[in-house]
Amino acid sequence: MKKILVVLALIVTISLFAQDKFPTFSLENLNGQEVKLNDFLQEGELVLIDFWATWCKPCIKAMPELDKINVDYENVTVIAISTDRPRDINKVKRTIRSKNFSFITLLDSNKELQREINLKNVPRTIVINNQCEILYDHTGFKIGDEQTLRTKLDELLQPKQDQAKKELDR
Amino acid sequence: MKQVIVLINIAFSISLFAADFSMNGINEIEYIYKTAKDSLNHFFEDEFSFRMNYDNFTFGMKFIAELPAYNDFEKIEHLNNDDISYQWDERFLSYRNKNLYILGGNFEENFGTGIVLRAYEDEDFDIDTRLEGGIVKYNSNLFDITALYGTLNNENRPQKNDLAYGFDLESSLFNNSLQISGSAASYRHIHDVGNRYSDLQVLGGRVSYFYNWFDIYVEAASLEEEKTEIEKKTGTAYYGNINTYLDKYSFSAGYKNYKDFDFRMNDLPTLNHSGEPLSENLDSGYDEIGFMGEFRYNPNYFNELILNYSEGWNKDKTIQISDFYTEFHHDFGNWSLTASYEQIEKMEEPISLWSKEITPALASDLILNEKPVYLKFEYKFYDKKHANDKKKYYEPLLQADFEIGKIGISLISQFHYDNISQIAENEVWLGAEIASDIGEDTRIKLFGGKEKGGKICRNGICRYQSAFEGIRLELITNF
Repeated sequence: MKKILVVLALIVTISLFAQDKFPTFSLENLNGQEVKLNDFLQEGELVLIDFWATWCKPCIKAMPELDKINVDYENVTVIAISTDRPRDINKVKRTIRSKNFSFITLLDSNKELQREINLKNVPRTIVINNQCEILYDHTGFKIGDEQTLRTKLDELLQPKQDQAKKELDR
Repeated sequence: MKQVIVLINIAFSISLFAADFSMNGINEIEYIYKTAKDSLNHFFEDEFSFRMNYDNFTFGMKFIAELPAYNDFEKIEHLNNDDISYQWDERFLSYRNKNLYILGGNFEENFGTGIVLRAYEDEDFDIDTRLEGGIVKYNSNLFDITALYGTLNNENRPQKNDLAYGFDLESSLFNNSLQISGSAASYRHIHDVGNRYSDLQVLGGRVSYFYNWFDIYVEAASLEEEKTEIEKKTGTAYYGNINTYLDKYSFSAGYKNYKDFDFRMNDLPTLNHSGEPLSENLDSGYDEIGFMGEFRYNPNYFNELILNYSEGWNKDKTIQISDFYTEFHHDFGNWSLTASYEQIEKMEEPISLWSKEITPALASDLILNEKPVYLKFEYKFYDKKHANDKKKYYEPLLQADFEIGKIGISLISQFHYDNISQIAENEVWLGAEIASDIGEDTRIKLFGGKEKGGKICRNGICRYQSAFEGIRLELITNF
């Protein structure tokens, strides 16, 4: 028991110094192609990562809102990561492709990434910058949450917009 | 004491380089008061899970402590309040660079849809076929390769280990629109008695084609198992689907055919909307044929119509299942309505069983006084015949999720009756959950009552939950 407490104390010590970062990953898309997070990390831009499942109704409700964000925000890339089991991959394809969503859809059917970030519940929405620093992390989706997310994105993108305005003024 | 000093030294040394570290974790403290007569009353559980990343390395672990040790199947006279149990549920170290991924420890993995191999954990069905060993993945522009080797506890003799290993090779052609893959897996498991092992070999291939208005997927596999020195078992599995997307209309069709393809290390597509197995009494894949068709109409973001129908049967057609599902969703701007209907019919001649389950449901999301409200009403009807025993009963469900201040409240009531006048005399599931965020990273949840379990969505959050009766207090901290 003492050993366990020491290990826990060790972890707490390290966590005090550790940064809040999202792990880089490489996952398959609906086409079976490997897609790497690094390909979307651009300076001044944000990546919105949403974990979802076909059986999760709040996740399905959030999808049109995420798609609108992907279209409306030039500096935000939306990546939807399905947590469905491998035998349900066809259901994932049907759900996404029938609605012609523009965001990137990836599959984490062997829970490789879910394990790395300790995912327990869906939907979970995480916004990261090009350094993979986690700037926003929210679990759940209820009607009205899309407005909170948009306000947060505006707030996070504001410094870049201010800088662009200054350059224009100059 | 020496060990403690060493660990503190390690912690101090690591913290000097901590700027290069990233870390995340979750801690869930749970207090449960169970009211079931055949159980102890008070339970404490702590589940601590963390991941530490340094450069390309990730170390992860999950630790679970229970007081008293939780055992749902033990008789009450054998349970003891002072029994503490702790276990390392996850331990792994992984390395990832641009093309290579290596992991040592316990892991989950699947080849394709899981027909050839799926190592996984499903708490809902008490399945744990995760492997303890190693996995290597390499991907290039031409191909992706996965190789794995690991052990797992035998299903019936947990003190003995089984062994699984395999590889999967995937190649993309024609600008990644065509994919051809091949897999091989081997599973060595000990017999229920003695020290004899059986070897099971599975070979599989899959082809998928992806185009802008359609996609197609086909998978075939065969297995061979040496049951005894003279008895050999062979099996086959075929599965395929095609989806077409014609503007607002989508059509899908699927087919499955499994013969003697039942073994522990796979997870076969059920090919119906509900994910229902053909039979509760037969292993999935033993003898199963079926098809599924689906139509979707999506004029815009705000409307959706789904029609899904599937049938499954065994070779003699003495066991059959049919599943019809339809759903209509309309978004009215500040509120939405979803109406659905599902009908599952099952027949098992060998045990003289016939059952029908009908579930009409209505759900709505709306904003009231600037707060989100979710309402759901479901009216499940069962009709069962088992030999000469006939049963008809109803299970209506009402759910309301709303917010008061920053507290999310979810009320669920579910009843069971065959005659509405006897509603109070039959089983009732009444439950309430209140949940609130404490700061940015901590959430507190209190549930009181009785729930049936399964995939549960409350206050906009979904998770697996096993059947429960009593009071449950959870404190979840992300860091």
